Amino acid sequence: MERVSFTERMAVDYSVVEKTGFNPYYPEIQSALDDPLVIEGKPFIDLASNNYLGLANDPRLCMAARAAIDKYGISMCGTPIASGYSDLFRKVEILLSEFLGLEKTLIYPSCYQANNGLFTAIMKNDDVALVDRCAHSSLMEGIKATGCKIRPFLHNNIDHLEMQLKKVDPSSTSFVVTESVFSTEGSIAPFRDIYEMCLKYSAIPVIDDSHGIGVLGESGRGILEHASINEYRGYYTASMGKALGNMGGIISGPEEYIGYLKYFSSHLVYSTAILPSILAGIEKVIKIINLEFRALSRKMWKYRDMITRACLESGWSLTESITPITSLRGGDSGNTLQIAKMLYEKGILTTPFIYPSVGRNDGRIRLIAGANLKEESIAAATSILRQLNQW
Amino acid sequence: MENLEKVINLIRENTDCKGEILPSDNLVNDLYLDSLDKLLIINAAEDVFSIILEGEDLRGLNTVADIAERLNKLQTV
Repeated sequence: MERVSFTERMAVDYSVVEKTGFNPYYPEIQSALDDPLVIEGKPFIDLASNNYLGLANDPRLCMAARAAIDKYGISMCGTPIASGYSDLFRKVEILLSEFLGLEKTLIYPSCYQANNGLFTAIMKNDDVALVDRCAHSSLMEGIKATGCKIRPFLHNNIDHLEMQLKKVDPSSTSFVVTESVFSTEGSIAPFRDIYEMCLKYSAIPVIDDSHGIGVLGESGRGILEHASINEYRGYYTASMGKALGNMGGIISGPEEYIGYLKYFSSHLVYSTAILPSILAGIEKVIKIINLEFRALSRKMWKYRDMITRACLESGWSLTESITPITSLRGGDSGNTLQIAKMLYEKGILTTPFIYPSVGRNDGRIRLIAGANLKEESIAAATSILRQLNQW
Repeated sequence: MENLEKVINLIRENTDCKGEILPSDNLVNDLYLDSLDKLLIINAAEDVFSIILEGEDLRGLNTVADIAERLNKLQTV
């Protein structure tokens, strides 16, 4: 086999960027997630961030973060197991557990770390992971690192999952791994059915609710509320950096599952603890959601409906999203970036997904309108979306 | 030949490949299958052919025809 040099291995293929004259990745934002936000000195309507409830730049969160800096400083300069754990850290763990209706919660610096670290801590190589075909990279990478047997099941296909569960050796420990909201499509896992399947076959469920927490359920508590699951016996993970407007990730669940991770999850034990200002932000945002979720959610859905309707009426091809995500089908990578470029030139920031994040020739342009946006911004965005599909 | 048709059907049923699939198609370069797609196909093949595939059996499978040939061999063992 011909040897490929290290420099060649590290080469990035920019051909699609050169062809379209547009690189949508790492845009340099010069403002907060305001409406408009600022890039290259120009105003943009933010349909890219995951700021579903529009709380990332809420003055109450900013004030809470400042107060935490005044009390604790910027960083505790230690891992949670050493000097990084504070009374605030503990308070927020308890608050999140109560919010979710779960016994215990651990807070990681990111949800990628939480997902990655979960599997490496709990799985052995003779265990079996049954994982949704479209599960997020953080889950997949964590599972692969354990060396366990992987049995993917077709996306959101409960019958295919059961076929795979029937084949698992009863002496093996099996895990069923999925997400609540699949964010490039806007689809939701049939998690009530999946959970019941887990109970039937004695499998341990793992659900990543990153795009569900603060979005799904009558009071924004996420997938477990949405699926009416009480006394959940499994692992629950979620990002604090989407609807919750902060950063970090959590793993929650029954005390006997979480207690082990507290001491044996390397990604938690050996990472500098999440910043006090962020913990204060999470504390405040949970309080705001408890009081204001209905109004914020109503606005978020209204904006989503305005955007989806405009896209459908003007002939855009959309995924069948049932969440506050509108996802345009972009075709191949060049075409997907071309659409994102046209929207960018009209002052709309979007998130384009191209291969290998999605299938080849099956690109997506994701649009999420946060509840902080002004209605006239949404009206302007819908007008642009209607005009652009005439090209 | 019969196995080849079965493999092509397995690929259709378990991946996003809905167009024409040729025996010479490379799984990665022509069909754009990733490691999870391959696992889905292998798991389905175990059911259809009533065999259990070990890691050793899966090495060097680059094309659609390679999978069919490997299954032929395993069935005659």
